Amino acid sequence: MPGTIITTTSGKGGVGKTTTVVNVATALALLGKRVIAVDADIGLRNLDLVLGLENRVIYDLVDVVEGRCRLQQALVRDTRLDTLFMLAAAQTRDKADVTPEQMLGLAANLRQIADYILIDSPAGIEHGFQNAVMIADRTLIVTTPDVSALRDADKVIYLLERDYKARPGLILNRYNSQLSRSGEMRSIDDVMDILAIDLIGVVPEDSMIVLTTDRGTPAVYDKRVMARQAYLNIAQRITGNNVPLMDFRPPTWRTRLARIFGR
Amino acid sequence: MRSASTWCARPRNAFEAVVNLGYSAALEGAEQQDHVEAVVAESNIGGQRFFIFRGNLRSGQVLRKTESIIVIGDVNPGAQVVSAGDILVWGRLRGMAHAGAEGNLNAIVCAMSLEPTQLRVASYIAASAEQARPTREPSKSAEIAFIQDNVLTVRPWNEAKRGFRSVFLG
Repeated sequence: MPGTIITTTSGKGGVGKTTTVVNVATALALLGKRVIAVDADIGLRNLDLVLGLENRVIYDLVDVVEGRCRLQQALVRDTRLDTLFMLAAAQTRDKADVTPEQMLGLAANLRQIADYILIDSPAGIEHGFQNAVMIADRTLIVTTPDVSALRDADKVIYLLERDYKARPGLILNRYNSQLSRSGEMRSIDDVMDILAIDLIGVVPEDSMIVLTTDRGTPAVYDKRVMARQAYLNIAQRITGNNVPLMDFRPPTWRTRLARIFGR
Repeated sequence: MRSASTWCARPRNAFEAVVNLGYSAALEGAEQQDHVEAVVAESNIGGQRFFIFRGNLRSGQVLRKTESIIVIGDVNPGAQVVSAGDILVWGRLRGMAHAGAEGNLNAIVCAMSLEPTQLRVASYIAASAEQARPTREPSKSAEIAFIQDNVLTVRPWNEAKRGFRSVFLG
């Protein structure tokens, strides 16, 4: 069965596309799926850093599409999981160096060898974005609850619906349940009211995330990171298991006690 | 925009507002006209045509028509609806709406929840005075915006029903 290509995009930069790709890819691989994470941000290579695989990259995406190496040679195997691979972007080239035809050819080959191919789209809605979403079987929109990220996400959803007849899923990132409870910030419902697409997951705001991305160890390995469970849940939902949303209410004395006694 | 001094009003009843927007054209073509007593031959505000859009208008989308526009869905922040006639939104209007864009001072904008970033009727422009709260609930009541005594005025539809008729009759 050919694999599924899932492109993660957002419009706005800095909302957590790369972090999402790395953690969801790792979580899917933990479920035993064969996963390839592809960095489509040609010229601004990041995914290898966040996966902690920078020093293993020999060939990149542009080498593959220009025929300087075979796809299998360019795939970097993850150091922790046997079923997780990464295809790095070229740092020295430009988005315009990859044509849509080349992306389609690459996509066909990727589908042959993996269950899930997660593509990290560049920010923006230009050439690089078009290349990344054109080949997608499914698209995931990453947004934070703030007004500018939402505005850009809304525009990207419009473009996806118009040009690709896609039905994107939503990952609400950096969700601060405390601020939304006090009414200072949009709640999940407020965000869904504007974007009106399928909700795939909500990742809580977590200051520990920055450490995991900086050190190249995905958050799903770190039990101290609250967001970990959110990524594991997203992976479950992608594979078709309907798991409930995380509970964002503050712990009561009852749940605190239960936690102390390990139940 | 919603300060007390600008509250004002209009139409006769909800049915008439619908007829004004040209729904009569649909009724006219319907067969078995015998049961339909309220049919009028043409729009009572000058043979205006209308355009219906079904679905949400998202950020960056622009709907620009010489006809009156009916949106069945939401108009999100960042989207624009521009019409030479009236604009009716069956949903939340949070983007920019410009009715009477070719100078018709009798044009109106109405929405189930009227909370636009900017509202224009002919050459009148109104912007929300306060920064929209991120978590604002939809309005309790549908509202209507029109020009009254040289002021772009917004009123809840059930208050606008009483007493003010001239705007809606052009």
